[in-house]
Amino acid sequence: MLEANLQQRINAQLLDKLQLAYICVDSSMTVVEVSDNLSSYGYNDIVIGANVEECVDFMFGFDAQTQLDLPMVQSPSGITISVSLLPSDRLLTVLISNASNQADQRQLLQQKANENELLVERQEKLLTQLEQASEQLESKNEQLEEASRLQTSFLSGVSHEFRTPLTSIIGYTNLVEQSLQCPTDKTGSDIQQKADHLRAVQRSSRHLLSLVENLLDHGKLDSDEIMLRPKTTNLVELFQDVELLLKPLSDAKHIELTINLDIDDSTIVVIDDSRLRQCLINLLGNAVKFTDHGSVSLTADLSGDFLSIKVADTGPGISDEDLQKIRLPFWQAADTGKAGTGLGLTITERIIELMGGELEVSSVLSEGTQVSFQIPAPMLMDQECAKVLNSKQSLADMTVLLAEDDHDIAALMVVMMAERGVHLTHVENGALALEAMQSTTFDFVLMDIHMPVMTGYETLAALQQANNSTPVVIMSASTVEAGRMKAESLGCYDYLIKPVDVDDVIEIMNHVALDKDADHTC
Amino acid sequence: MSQADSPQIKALKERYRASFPEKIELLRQQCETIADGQICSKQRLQVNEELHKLAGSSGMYGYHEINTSCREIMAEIDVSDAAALVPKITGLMLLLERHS
Repeated sequence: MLEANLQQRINAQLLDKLQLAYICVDSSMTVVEVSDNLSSYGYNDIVIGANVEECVDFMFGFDAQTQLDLPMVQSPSGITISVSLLPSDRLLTVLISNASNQADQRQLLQQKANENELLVERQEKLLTQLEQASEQLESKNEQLEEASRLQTSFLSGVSHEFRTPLTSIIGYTNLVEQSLQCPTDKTGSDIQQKADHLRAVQRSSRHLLSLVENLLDHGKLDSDEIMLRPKTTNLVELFQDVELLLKPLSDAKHIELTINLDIDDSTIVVIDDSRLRQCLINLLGNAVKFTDHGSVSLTADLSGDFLSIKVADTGPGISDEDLQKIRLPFWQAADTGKAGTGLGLTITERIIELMGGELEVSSVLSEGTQVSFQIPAPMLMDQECAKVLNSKQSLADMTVLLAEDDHDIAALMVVMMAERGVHLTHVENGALALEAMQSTTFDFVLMDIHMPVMTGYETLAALQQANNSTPVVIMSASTVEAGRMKAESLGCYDYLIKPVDVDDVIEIMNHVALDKDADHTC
Repeated sequence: MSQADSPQIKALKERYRASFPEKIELLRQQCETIADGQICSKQRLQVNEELHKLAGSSGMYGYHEINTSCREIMAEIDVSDAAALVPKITGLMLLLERHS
């Protein structure tokens, strides 16, 4: 050996301790020397004189002058090794060391790096979520602030609205009371004055009632409790009613109120007249309230079973910014000085939506505002219209049963209906009503709910079970909506709340007569 | 309103007004049963029945104040204790007294 044995030179024990193995090859890549511990890495077949490229995979393609570090190589025994090619004058020493720890550490590091990357990614995601949540919170906060502002404005508005008529009621009743305490003046003018005061009290009371009804309606709309009750309706009469109601208000402000109708006098449509009237009063009432000079007009036409309505005024108009807010409940323009609950337009819009229409509002500042909508209003054919108009004549021929346990109410109903040409047969409870209906065919039944022996609900259920389709109209002192819903689910024709207006009963009977005629025609 | 009333309606209204003392007595009896401070669900139901009947008839006969008072008490009957109900029913009795 020209050179001393490497193992001898660097001490075999030390090589083992350092887990170092080696292969020495000459310039032709022939193995000239190997360490004894080479087999610990799985290199068992390397013999002196062999070509290193043939027996050591990682040496393929290298020459004896190559100096290189291969940090992570898999040995035949599966151990991760680190290889250093160390060329010298005549020999290339291939130094092999155990790199398992390094590999483990590297893997650990890689794992940590991966985990870090995941953490960073999660952190970024959390930050994004946090940002979004923060934005949502900010938006909610703004909404809450707006709601709080609207509530405050509503409370102050509604207090004002209530205070005005209440002050008027207290004032006028005081005047009447004082005049009663000192009844010295019995002249006609004094009586006239008292009557005027009482009329003022009535006006204020009605106004209060409409305010409360608006508030109740809003609550019902919020909980989807409002149901439409379409009826045969003469549109022209309905518009005339609304005009009569609003005229005193417009006259008091010296505003011209015009109603332009492109509808025939005898046109009858099927629509919820009371809800339509409520919408028109709200819209025209608003227009009159906010218009100080000029005019307010309502234009209506009926074509193809659709009713189009436009309310226009020459008021101060609404800014684009305010136009976005006017539909919000309790919203009121800040600088108008006009009191109100801020619910009228919200309620109107929701009712029009329920009717299948959409409320459109356009406005130009200093020029005025236009509100329009179109709703389905199926027209009755000429023959059917004639029947509605003539149906009053057929009321006298109708057989009507009244089931009412309260004798005072029953007696009053019998007399009041008789005065309108309708004869009632009276029974005192539901069981007697069923008995009467078995022996006689009635065209129409008026029935109380709370009755002894058999209640109105039980009677309705029995009629439903017997497939008896006689129209039953419930008269109840209960204003609970659930009661109405229960009666309707049991097939009642209509539901009236006591005190019942007999004219409402007559109107319903007209519809029943019309339906009956239509059935016969069919 | 009374201008349009027929003699028959007038007579009915008079008869109804004349029944107020009887209605007051019924309410007084109800008050007595609950005046000891306790009111059970059966008693609540009985009072509610009386008020319900009175609400219906008084409204029909044009006594809207009585009708409103009945409804107000009915609205609170399930949640009010006897101590709160008795003064309200007494108030209703006074209303009837004033009209009788």
